[in-house]
Amino acid sequence: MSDSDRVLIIRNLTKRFGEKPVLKGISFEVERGETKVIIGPSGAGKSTLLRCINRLIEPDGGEIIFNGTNILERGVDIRKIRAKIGFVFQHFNLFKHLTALENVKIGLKVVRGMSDEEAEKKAIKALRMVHLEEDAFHKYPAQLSGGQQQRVAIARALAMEPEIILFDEPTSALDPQLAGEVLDVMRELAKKKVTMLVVTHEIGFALNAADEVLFFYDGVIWEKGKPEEILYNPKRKETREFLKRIADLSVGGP
Amino acid sequence: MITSTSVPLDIALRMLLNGAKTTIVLSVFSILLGLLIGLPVALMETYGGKTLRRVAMVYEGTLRGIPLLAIYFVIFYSMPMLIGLGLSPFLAAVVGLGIRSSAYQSQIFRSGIQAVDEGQIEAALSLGMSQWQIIRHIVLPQALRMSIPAWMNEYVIVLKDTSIALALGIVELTRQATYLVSITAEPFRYYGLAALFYLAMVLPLTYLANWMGKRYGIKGTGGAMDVRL
Repeated sequence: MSDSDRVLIIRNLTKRFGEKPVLKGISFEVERGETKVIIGPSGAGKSTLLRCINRLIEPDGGEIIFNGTNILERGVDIRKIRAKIGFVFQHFNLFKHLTALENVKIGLKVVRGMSDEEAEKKAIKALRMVHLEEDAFHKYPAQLSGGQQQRVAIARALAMEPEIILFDEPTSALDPQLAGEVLDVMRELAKKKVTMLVVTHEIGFALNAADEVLFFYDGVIWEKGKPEEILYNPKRKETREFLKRIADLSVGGP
Repeated sequence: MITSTSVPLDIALRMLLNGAKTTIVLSVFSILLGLLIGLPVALMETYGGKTLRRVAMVYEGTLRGIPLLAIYFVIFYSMPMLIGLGLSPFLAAVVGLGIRSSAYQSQIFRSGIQAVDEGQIEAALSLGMSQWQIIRHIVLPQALRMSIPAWMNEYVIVLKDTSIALALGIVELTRQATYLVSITAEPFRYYGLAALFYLAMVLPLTYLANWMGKRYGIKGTGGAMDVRL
């Protein structure tokens, strides 16, 4: 595999908050066109990992090689890198004073320097890709459902034509029906070979959309493999216990 | 012996109206000066480094801690002695009221800025925006709108506090009323009229504030809260 096939290479990434080590040497790669899913217990540092990748949080050590550049090196213009890495948040984080359409346009105009016309065309295209209803284009975030808001957030990331999109538990704040419409969009993106790194508890999505599943536990990648292997036949005890807990939750508790 | 003369009502009203005009002009200049200083102070306090932040906090704390009358006396009487710079009474009144208001306005804008949630900042950073772009396109448009009700309220306070400028010899509304009282010895009548003039200016402002809060508030968030006196 040549370097250009790999969008992201992470080597021995570490991060501690005060005395508490959160990432204890994470290594993995994401290939172009691949959907990679990270599962693991809450509060263990999965969000921290994603935020280190675009340096919203500054890692302590290791390497993050994005498109061949180690973005932790000095002299790297992190804003240029961030513009190529999409980020979709658990709580959507739309800009509250802007309509759905304007939320998608603003990055194109302010960061990419596009004209209003050009930005509008691209934004409309992106909003159609996430199947946002046309009558919602000019609504404000507070007037949209959670599912609509998250789809706008995905469109906002897509419109920037990123090399990879990072998803931080994109459906955790949604009830199952609204989560479904967001997951449908993400499945379509996976089919279209949009490169995605997804932190989620949605085992169904991992099963039918992921190319590989990583189990994040105790600050490292504890186990990884094909979705069926990890989800149906995990080798390690901790992975089995985690999956059992999730399964218990989804049928209404033990 | 007190001698008193009656003043025809139309003349009295015209005098009070002239005073009210001065009151309005003084308040508008003062609130604008306060805005011009207060907004940068709020930005310094939120985004500045340690030193800038401290300077802004000292500025704000000092001006909020000193009575307006004392600020006036420092500016009008002490400045010429201290630095040989004398201001006209009107200018001194604007500067005094303006800088005191800037301290309160910086508080208003700072809480507006802080009310923009961290998640939106993270989203803007993730798009590749610079800090200045985030302030300009994401934070200020929301912070300013959220500040409208409190800012209008501050304007009402400035408007009423212009009366303290009479201590500098500014002939504003209260001063005109005092003048009429000294001629007629009818304090209830003329201070009462002056009070009505103030109310006539303030009441429409509170309606305007509520209307602006709804008109310019962020859609779907229920608009801004009501302004009450």
